Amino acid sequence: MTDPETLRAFEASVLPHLDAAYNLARWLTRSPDDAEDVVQEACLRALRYYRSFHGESARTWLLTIVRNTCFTWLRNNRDRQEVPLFDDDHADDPEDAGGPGYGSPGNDPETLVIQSADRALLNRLIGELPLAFREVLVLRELEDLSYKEIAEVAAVPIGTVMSRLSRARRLLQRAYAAQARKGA
Amino acid sequence: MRGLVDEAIDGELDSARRQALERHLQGCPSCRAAHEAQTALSAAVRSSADRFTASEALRSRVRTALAEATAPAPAGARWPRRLWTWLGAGSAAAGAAMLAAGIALFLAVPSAQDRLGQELVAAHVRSLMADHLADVRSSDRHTVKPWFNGRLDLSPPVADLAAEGYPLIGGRLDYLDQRPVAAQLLAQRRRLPVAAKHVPAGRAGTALDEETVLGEALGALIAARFEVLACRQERSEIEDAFVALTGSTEA
Repeated sequence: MTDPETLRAFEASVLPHLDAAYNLARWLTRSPDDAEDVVQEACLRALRYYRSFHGESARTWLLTIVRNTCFTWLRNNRDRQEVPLFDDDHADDPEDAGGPGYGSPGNDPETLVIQSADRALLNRLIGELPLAFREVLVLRELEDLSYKEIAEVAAVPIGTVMSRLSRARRLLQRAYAAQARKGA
Repeated sequence: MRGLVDEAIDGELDSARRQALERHLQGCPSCRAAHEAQTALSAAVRSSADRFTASEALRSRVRTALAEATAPAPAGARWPRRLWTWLGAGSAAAGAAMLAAGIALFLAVPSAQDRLGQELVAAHVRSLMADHLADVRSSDRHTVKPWFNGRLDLSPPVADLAAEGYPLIGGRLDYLDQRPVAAQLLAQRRRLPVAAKHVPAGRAGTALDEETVLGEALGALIAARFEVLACRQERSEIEDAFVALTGSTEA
């Protein structure tokens, strides 16, 4: 029950962010078809909720809806294993506590400096990150959202955004270093 | 220091903390190495990770879906006018149905919304009967809003109308049209405005009285861009409870 005027306003403010919406949905669902379905569903939801949009950032607002739609979608369509993974309580794995080589830059996989990235490998490893970490990494590095905006989209406190992002990077760094070493 | 490294990479450090980090990095090879590696990683992700774009097919699909969803638009009155219509019609209908419980007002315009309005009023009346007005009781919207976050598809806005005389008392989930929706509860701590005193004892207020009494609170909510679908006034209490629904309630 939207009048044409509202639809036009909606399209003008929200549709420019369709790429961002699709990118997030694609990284979260890891499937082109699913991502398209999610984006369409999210846009319809966004239209329904448009009156409650206060005109801050249409992009952040749309991404919030896309994110929520993705999670609903994943919950309904995927193996349960895929979903929560917001296991921050166990975020500190033993390696963090000072595994071998920690503190000695020579051996620490966390200090491998990626000179020229292997594109395919990097994409695969990001895709393999647990959902909660993949989400913040994509929002930060690909959508360039601030911590505050990510907190809004992912509905978690800023502190959680920071710890997840930090963790996402370390996981990715380690995985990349391990693969690079194997390949070398 | 590791946390600062991330914050530095993300441009989230203020200059004082940035300087502190830089001083630390000069004397700490381990953190310096981590900083260098993380910076390179961040740059690699930004330059090499796929940033997928929406295809033309998806764009047109979305446009079509939006147009279809928009098609059956009722002759739409703008907000304030619709509000007064509900107020008038609501008080007449509610007088019979809910005299004992107070005054309930609901949408009287399109039939689907009419039904939703009744559902909403019923839900609210039930919550009062069960003495379960709020699921989360707090006057702090930073408490109420996150509470909704985990329970709804969308985080609804929570308005701060304390300055207007309507402090927040909490929030509640209602089910409306088989969907969870957020109810934000506001209390009016002031006594009823003078106009209310003109209501004869034992009779439901006239539309005019309702407008006068409720207009102020609803006006404040609408000014905060709330979608007010129904509100309920407890005449026996000094406090009036208002329910403001946020988010969509469209069928």
